[in-house]
Amino acid sequence: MAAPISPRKAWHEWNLYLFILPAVLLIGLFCYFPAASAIYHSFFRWSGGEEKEFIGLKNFYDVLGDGVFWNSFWVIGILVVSNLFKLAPAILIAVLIHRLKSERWQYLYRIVVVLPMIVPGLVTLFIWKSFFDPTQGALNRFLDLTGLKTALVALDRAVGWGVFHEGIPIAWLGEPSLVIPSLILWGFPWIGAVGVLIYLAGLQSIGSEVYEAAQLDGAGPWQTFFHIEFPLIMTQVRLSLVMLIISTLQGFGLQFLLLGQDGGPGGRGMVPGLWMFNRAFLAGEFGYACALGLFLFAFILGLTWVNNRYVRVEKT
Amino acid sequence: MREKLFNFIGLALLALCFAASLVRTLSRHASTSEDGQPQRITIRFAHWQLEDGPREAFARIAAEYSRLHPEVRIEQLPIPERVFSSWLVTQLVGGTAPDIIELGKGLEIGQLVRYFVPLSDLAEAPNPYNHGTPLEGLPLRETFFDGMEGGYNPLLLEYYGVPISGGSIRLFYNLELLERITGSRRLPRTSGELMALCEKIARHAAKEGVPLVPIAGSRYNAPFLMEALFSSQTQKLAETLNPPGIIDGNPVAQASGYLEGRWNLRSDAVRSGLTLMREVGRAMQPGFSQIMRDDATLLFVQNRAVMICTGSWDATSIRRQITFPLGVSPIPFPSPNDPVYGPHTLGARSEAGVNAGISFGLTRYSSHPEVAADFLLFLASRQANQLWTDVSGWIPSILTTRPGPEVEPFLPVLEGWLPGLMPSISKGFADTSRLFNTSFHLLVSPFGSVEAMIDTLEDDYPEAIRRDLERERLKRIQILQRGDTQLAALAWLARDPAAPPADRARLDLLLQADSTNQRNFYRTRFALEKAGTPSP
Repeated sequence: MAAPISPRKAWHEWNLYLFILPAVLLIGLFCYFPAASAIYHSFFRWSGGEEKEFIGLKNFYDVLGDGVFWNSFWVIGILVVSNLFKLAPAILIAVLIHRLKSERWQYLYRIVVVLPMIVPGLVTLFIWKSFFDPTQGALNRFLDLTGLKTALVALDRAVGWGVFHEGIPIAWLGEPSLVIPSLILWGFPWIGAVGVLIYLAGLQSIGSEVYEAAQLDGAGPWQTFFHIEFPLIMTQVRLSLVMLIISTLQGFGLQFLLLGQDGGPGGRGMVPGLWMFNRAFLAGEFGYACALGLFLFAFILGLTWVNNRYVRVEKT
Repeated sequence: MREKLFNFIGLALLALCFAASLVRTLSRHASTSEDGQPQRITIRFAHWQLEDGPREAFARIAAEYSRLHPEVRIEQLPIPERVFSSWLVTQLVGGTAPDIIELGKGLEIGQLVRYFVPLSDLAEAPNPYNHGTPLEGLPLRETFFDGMEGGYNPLLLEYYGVPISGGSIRLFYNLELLERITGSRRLPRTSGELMALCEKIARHAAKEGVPLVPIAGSRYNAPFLMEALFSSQTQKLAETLNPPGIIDGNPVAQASGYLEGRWNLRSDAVRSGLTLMREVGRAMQPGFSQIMRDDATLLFVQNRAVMICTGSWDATSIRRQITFPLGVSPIPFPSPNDPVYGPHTLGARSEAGVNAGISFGLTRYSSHPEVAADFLLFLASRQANQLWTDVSGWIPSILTTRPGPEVEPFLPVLEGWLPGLMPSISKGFADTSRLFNTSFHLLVSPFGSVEAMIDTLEDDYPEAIRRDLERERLKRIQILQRGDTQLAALAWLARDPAAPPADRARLDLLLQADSTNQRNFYRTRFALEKAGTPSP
C-alpha cells in the first residue's frame, strides 16, 4: 500500500489530478447526478414532466403507510434466502473443475460454463417464460412424461394445497401459490458463469502444500472441502453474497417480464423495484417513486453495513 | 505454434466483427445525412407496427412520395413495441428523434407539448394531395371518417397527429375445425350461441383426446372479448351514471358513481358481467392470463384453438400464417331475449364512436419541418390511404377510400347501442386496474368464482378509486393551468379591433374546449368531495 503524502505535496502536484478529472466528471454526471436528482424530486409531487409541486415530506409519510411496498420486502426476503442456497451449485462446480487433474479438461469445462454467457439475459428470460407456459411449456411436458405430475397431485391431495389437479395444466405464473416457487426455480441449475469463475480464481490461489498436508492428515474429499477449500474462498463467497443481495433487492426485470407490471396474480411477485416502476410509469407518480427508491437505498445501505461488520473472514 | 494460430484466428474474428460494425454504422450515418446529392433530404419516420402489412405499405407510400419528390428520401424506422416507450423517451430527451413519430405509446402530455408541433393549422387547410378527388377543397380534418379526432388531443385543445388507419375487434374462426366439429361454418350470433359452441368444442376435444381449446387467450387478447361482454351487461347501468344529456363514457362518471354508492361490485349488472367474463375465460386455455399475444396467435394458427379474439391489425399476420379458411365476425353480444344475460343488455355495441389510429406527429427536432409536414399531408391523402389499405389490409381512415374484400369484415358496424362500463373502470386508473388485474385469477381459475373475486376486491376498491380520481383531478388542474396562458394571450390579442378573424376564431375554439376541461375538472372534484375527500 502506498505511503500517505502530506497535503502540501499533494497540492504541489495538482496538475496530476487533471488526469482523473474526466472520469470523476463522468461518474458525477451519470452516477451521482441521477441519484441527487432522485433525492431532490422525492420532495415533490412530480409526474415526470416540467411541472412539479413541493410537498415536503408527504411522499415519505405515504411510503411509511404503503402496504404494497412493505409487503414486497417479504418477497425479496424469500428470494434472498433462496439465492443463498443457489450459491451452492456454482461453488460445487468450481470445486469439481478445480479438482480435475487434467488442465486441458479444466479449460474445456470452463468454456462450457462460460459459453452460455453469450446469450443475452433477456433471451434467457423469454426462454424460461416459454418453459412456464401451461399448455406448451417444456416444464409441464417434462412433469407429465416423467409421472412427476401425478406425484405432485397425490402430494397436493394429502397436504391440501389446492394447487396441483389431475387433468389441469399447472399455471406456474398464473397461480398465486406458485409464483414465488417459479421465481426461485428460474435459472435452474443455478450455475452462474461469473460465480464459478470467481470461486475458481479463489481456489487456484490455494497452495498445493495445503492439499498435501491435508492428504497426509488423512482428510477425505468432503473434509478437504469443508475445512480447507470453503474457508479459504470465503472472501469470494462474501463478495458474491453482497453482489447477490444488492442485485436481488434492486432488481425487478425478472418479475416484470415473467409476471407483468402488477406483480402477477395476487401481486405475489411484487418486489420493491417493480413497485417503484409501477408507481413511476403507470401511476405517473415519479416523485413518490423517488421516495420509494430512497427507502430502498437506506435498506440496502443498512444491510451492507451489517454484512461488513458481522460477516467477517478470518484469514488463517 | 497451434496456440498462436488459435489466438490469431480469435483476433482476426474480433477484428472482422469490429470492421463490419464500423462500416455499417458509418454507412448508416452517411445515408441519413444528405447523402452525396446536394439537394437530397431524408425524412425519417418511426412506428411500432411490426405486424405483417404496415411496413410494406409504408415502404410503398414512401416510394410513391419519393417519385413525386425526387429530392426527398423517406426512411422508415420500425421499432419493436415492447421497447418503443423507452426508445421514444431516449430519442426525445437526447435530441435525436426522427422527424415523424407514431403517437400514443408512452407519451406523457408534457412530452407531447414539449417535443411535438401542433398540427391544427394543417388540419384546417385543404390537403393539396387530394386535388382531383372528391375530397378536394375540404379541410384536412373533414377528410377523415372520424373528423381527425384520432389525432386531436382534447386536453391540449390541438391536433397533434395524423391518424391513417381504423381498427376494430373481431372474433376469428378456424372454419375447417369449426365445420369438422359442428358440421357447419355458421358463426355464432349471440353470446349464448358462442358459449354453446365452446362447450361443443370442449366435449369434442375431450372425446377425441386432442389438445384443442375453444378460444385462444392471452394477457393481450382475453381483455378484448371479456371487456366487451362485461360492457354488454352494464349498458343500462352506464346510462344511469352519465349526467343528463351527456353520454361520453367518461371513467370519472363511473368512478364517482361507485363512490356515491350508485353501483358496486355486487350490483346485479356487474355480477352478471363478471359471470359472463368467467364463462368465456373458462373457454380459454388454462393459465392464459400469463401468456403473451404471440403465444395465443401461435395456438390459433397451429390448429390448436378454434377461435381467437383480436384486432383487425392482426388479420394480415394471421392470414399469412394459416393454412385453413378464416372466418371473421363481430363479438357476439347477448341477445336482449337471453333469459340469463338479456335483462341487463340493450344490444350489440355500436362501433361508431371509434376513432382512427396509427397517428403520426411531427417532432420539433425535424431539420426540414416543411418537408416532413408535406409528407404527413401525403400520408393523409386519399391516394396514400388507398395504398395503405390495399397493401397492409388494414382499415383506411380517409373518406371515399375503397377497402378491399378482405378488409370489409373489419369495417366498423355503426348500428348498435352505447358501450357499458369497463370492468376495471379505466386502464388509465393505475390503482384500480392493478387491483382488478391481481384479482383476475380468482375469476377465471377452475376453482375460483365471481364471489371470490368480489370478496377480494370490495374492501380496497373504494380507496383505489379515490386515489385514481385524486390523480385525475391533479392532472386536470395542470391542464387548465397550461391552457390559461394561451387563453390569456389570445384574449389580449383579440381585444384589438384590428385583430385577424383567425385569432378570434381560435379564441372561441379554445374557450369552448377550456369549458369542457373545466367541466371535467369540477366533475372530478365534486365526485371526490361527495365521497368525503376534501380538495385543497
